[in-house]
Amino acid sequence: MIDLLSILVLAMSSATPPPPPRPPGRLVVDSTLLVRLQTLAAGLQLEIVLCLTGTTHGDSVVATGFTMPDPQLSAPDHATFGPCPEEAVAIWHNHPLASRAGDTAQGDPNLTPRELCALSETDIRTMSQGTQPFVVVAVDANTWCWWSRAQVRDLAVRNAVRGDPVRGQISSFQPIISGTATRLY
Amino acid sequence: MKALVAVALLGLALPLAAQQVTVASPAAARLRVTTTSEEASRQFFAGVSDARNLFFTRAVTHFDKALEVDTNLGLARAFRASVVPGFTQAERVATIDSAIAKMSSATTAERVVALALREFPDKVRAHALWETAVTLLPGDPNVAFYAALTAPAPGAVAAIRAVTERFPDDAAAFNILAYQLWQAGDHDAALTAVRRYVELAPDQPNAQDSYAELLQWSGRSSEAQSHYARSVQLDASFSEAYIGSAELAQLSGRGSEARRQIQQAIAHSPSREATVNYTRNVARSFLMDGMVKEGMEQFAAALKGAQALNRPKLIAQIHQDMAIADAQLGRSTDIASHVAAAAQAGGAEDPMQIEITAAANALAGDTNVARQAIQKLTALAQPDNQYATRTSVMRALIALRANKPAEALTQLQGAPLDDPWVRTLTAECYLATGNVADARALKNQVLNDPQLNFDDAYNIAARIRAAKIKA
Repeated sequence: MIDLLSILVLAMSSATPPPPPRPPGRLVVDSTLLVRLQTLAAGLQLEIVLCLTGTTHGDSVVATGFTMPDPQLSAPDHATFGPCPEEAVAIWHNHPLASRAGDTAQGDPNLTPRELCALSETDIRTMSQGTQPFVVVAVDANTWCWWSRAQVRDLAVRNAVRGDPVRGQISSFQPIISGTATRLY
Repeated sequence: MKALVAVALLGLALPLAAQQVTVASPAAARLRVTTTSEEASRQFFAGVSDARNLFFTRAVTHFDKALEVDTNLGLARAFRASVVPGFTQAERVATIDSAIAKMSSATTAERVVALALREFPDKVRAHALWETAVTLLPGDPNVAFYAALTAPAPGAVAAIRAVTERFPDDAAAFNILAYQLWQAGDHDAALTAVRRYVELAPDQPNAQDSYAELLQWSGRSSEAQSHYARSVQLDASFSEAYIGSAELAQLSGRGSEARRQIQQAIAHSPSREATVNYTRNVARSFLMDGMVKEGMEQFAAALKGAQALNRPKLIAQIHQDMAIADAQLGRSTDIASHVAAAAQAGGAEDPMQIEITAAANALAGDTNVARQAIQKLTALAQPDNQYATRTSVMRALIALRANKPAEALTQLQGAPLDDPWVRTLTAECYLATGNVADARALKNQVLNDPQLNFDDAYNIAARIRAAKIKA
């Protein structure tokens, strides 16, 4: 067993790793996609996970579509889905507003979308393990927030139990140029 | 070999599990209440917010509305019982017990919160339960607030500060932080915290009231007045702001305006018990203005109210008020009857009763009775309570009655000079030994201390005595 481990360590240390590619610093969501996601965020009463797909241009990625991973559990305040493909450019999920008629357990209806636009401890633990360069949370059509993977990993390293949005990374949507894409980050 | 295979399988299985995406909303880590009614939930959480912002009458209104919509919302019943003005502790516990018994479909977190509310007077037990609630609901500012509020004293400031850092938009925690920082002597930080409280909760009457009070304590009277006024403008039923205005008026020598403001508080009183206490405030205002007859009449009216409510503890407190007032005013014939009546109502071995027995008799010159009570009080003295200072003050009073200012000064040595009675008696000692300038300085410190609180009978008695120092 000791011999086997040694071989593995040797193999890793003898290889010269290429310099890691610089992660993209800007996420752009195509306006058509944005409208679809806003509609979803406004109407959903359960949490879901979507994998945003698109292309990378230098330090920017442009999200143009999405796929839904295998849904295993979807509840008003938590969800478990299958993995996103490695080529996904961002993981999107929603935090529906707490008040929903029909539930037997009611959360605080006075909670604002701003208070829900944050990463929970579970989100931080899960998202820090992924490879996609961006994490996006939507509360309703207009309240979204986002983090780079490095920011999420930093929260995980600090054992944060909540990840509030970084200044400038929570938004109501203002298209940069009318009819074109919206820059998120 | 089998172990190696297991490790290999585990090695394969783990990456797959890690790729699964599990997400949760911050709402999952917050308190939820068991009801199908969104309106009941809305009213419940509005009530909790008002309770945390110390607006108990409005909190009760919200809890009542929640219970109107969903009579089975047990946690609303428990919260209501814990904050409703005028309940005795026994009534609170009985009501919360009844609510808990009916919370058959409530979550574990709801039950733990209800139990924590039940234990509130016992901070150690309450804190343990609130900490359990925090474990169950790590993202909930309400339970974090109450856990910090019940934290043991050495770490209390750090505990509430941690809540403000964890929940930077949660207004109520800044209120507690402000007062705790003030008590710890960091007045600038206290003012910063209370300003943040106002920023976060501009429409809460208590935010304006707290800001006003800390401004008052900083000597910024006119600014304080405008915030007290703003507080009652936001909600005329927030009676504590009238008391704040009354304190400001009394400090500036406008006793009749002070009493007019206290009457406003009485007009908006949240309970009959509060009315009795406000009436005691009117009495103290009269006595501070040297209007003895009127003051004693108000104490008598308060006593009548307490007797009608059948509240022995309150009855004892008012007899104690009257015993001290009689002793200060030289009406020695009435002291013994009030001390005896207080003992009958509240118990002879109650520490406050022992203190009042010692103080009233030391003031009136019955030194034998005073010394016996002081001896009992000495046994209660601990580094973290006030009894050591109180016994020093009473021994100094006895020495001054015997015209022994040097001995009185010896008794006061080591007692904190920010205590109003220590200042007052030290001033009397200085005056007796011809040090008029220092006597006057200390007298003025007592009289001009902006931290006037009508509920603080000890402080007010010192002001009444200091006012008589001819320096």
